[in-house]
Parts: sequence; C-alpha cells; structure tokens
Amino acid sequence: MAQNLLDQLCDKIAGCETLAFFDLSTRMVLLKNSGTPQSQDALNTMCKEAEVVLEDGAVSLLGSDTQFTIYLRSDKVPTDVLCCVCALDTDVEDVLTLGQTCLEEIGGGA
Amino acid sequence: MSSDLQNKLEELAGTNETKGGALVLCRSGTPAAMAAILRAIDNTILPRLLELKVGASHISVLAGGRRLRAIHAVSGDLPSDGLELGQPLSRDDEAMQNQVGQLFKALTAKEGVLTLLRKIDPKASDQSDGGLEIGGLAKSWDVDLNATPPSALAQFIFSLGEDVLSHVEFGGDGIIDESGAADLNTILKSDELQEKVTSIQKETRQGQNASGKNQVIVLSGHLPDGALLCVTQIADSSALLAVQKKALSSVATAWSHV
Repeated sequence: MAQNLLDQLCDKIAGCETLAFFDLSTRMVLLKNSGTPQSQDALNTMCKEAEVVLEDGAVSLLGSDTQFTIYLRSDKVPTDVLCCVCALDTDVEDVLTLGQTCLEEIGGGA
Repeated sequence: MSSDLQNKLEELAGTNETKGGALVLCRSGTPAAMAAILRAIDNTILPRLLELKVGASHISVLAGGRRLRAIHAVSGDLPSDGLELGQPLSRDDEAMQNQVGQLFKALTAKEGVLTLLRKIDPKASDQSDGGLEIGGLAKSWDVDLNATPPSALAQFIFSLGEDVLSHVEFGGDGIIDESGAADLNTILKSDELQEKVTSIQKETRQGQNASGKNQVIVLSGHLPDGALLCVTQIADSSALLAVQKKALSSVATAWSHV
C-alpha cells in the first residue's frame, strides 16, 4: 500500500518530517505520511510550489534557516512528484535515491 | 536562557564539538586565516585538541585557557623540522615561537578551505601549564586579530569548492563579485534569468516570507549541461550560482553550516 511506502521511507530518512506524493497533472496531493504535522492547506500550497520550482527540471531544493523542502520528479511518470520536508542535517542523497525508488513503486501501483 | 547564551555555554563546555564535523573557518591564503586560527585558540577555555586543516595539510594543537599550549602533530607539506611535538610552548623560547608562526603561516598559505575540528582529548588536559597568549602571538607574528573574515555568503560559496562552476554576487550597488566560467556568468547576469528567478521566488513560500531571512533555492533545468541554478540570500547579500549537476548534497551540506 502506497501509504505504507511513504511511512517506511520517512522512517528510513533521518530528520524526515513530511513526505507527500503530488500529482501535478491534477495539482492534487494524493498521499502524505501519517506522521506529518503539515496541514492539508500547507500541503496544497507545497503542491503549487512544486509546480513552480519544477517547471523546467527534475529536482529542486528550498532551504531556510531550519529545514529543507525537496521536490523530486519521477523519472518514469513526470507528473508524479515526491515532496520531502526534512532537517538541515538530513542526507539529501538518501532523499534523492530512496525517493526515486519510492516514486517508481507508487507509480507501479504498490 | 537565551539560545545565544546557551550556545556559548555549550561551546565553552565543549559539548557537541566533535559531532558536527569540522567547522569551516575561512578561505586560506587570506590575512583573515591567521586571525581565524588565533581567535579559535583564544575562544578555547577548556583544554582541547584543535585540528586545523587545509586540504592534505594538517596541524593539531593543544589549547586551553585561551592559550596555545603545544603543537601536537603535523602532517602534509609543512615545515615541521625542529619542532618539539607535544612539548609545552613557552614565551621565553622566542625561536620556537617563530617556528610555530612559520608553521601556521605555511598552513594558511595553502590554497583551500581552512577547517577546525575541536576534540576533547586527555592529552590536552595534560597540558595545563604555560602556553602562549594570543595577544603576544598576534604581535610577534604581525597578525591583525580584527582581520575581517569573509561574509557568510562568501563562505557558503567558497565551501562549495569546485562544485561552483560560476557565481555572481549582488550587493547594494549591483554586482560585487563574480567568478567562474564566462559563458555561465553571462547567463547568470542576463535579465531573462534574473526575471525568471524573481518570478519563482515570488511564488514560493520562502520568497513570500523572505524579509530578512536566509534562504537558498536550487533549481534544475535552467542552465546548460544539467548544471543546477542556486539562488541564495544571506543577510543583505544575494548570489546566483551555477553548480555541478551532482552537487545538490554539497549545497545542502554547505547551507547547513551557514
């Protein structure tokens, strides 16, 4: 089940606070990890933000003084996007690698 | 207790000093590098082993009580002949002071980033007497302790090292610094790209709440050959960078140290 995939991935990534799965073709938040503190409104805003920052690319990172938000577009289904909100000391390489695998599993109908 | 005070107390107590890896002090090869080393020693109240490194060259010193107690180890291409490693330094031994000064100058003359790692080490506690006071060393070695270190933005850019292909830094009066490939600089300075960046910033949560806040945005797909476009704002300075396409993690790591 896709929900479990996000929860398991969030557990694997140290410092991960939120994982969400967006469908940019419908501009909808389709999934989120069960432990996220983000409201649905906040996730909707992030979905719009993903559309802006991923307009021409496959990955984007936004950093503040306290955390990163990473948007990762699926290699296989370009409208599928994973959003990860994480701590500044999170291993970004983990997010990219494990996140792409997760996107493929969700896209494959897990 | 304010977080600043808490941080200072933790710094003095030495907690967490070895957890976050080495601290980037500044770019070596600048007058600020010697001053940064002396200030690091001056900030060391409790006995500590300080590991100073530029590339493959490295000096470990024992410090405490705001004094340089002893040179513990030297590696890399540095002038260490005649140094008595581990022996207490005395202000009466002027020749040794000069030799230690030459050692530090050789390290800070190396091209690269000067980093500092503080360690709690029993050897540092053993050296509780004597040592060289920083004011005297600064005078003897002709170091300006007030030499201004590079800005946080300059340090951020520098700590990315060769991952930066090109950069343009903006200040109050326009472009204040730039480096790297000319063709990428031309793109970074183009009105078209800057308008695009401004437009993207306005539509992000950070851009909408950016007043006075530090932020970094890394975008793919805007530059040739897969290079990443990095937009950064720290305090009153901002910069556009072209970075290697595989450097997202490096940018994140550098940002986490800002």
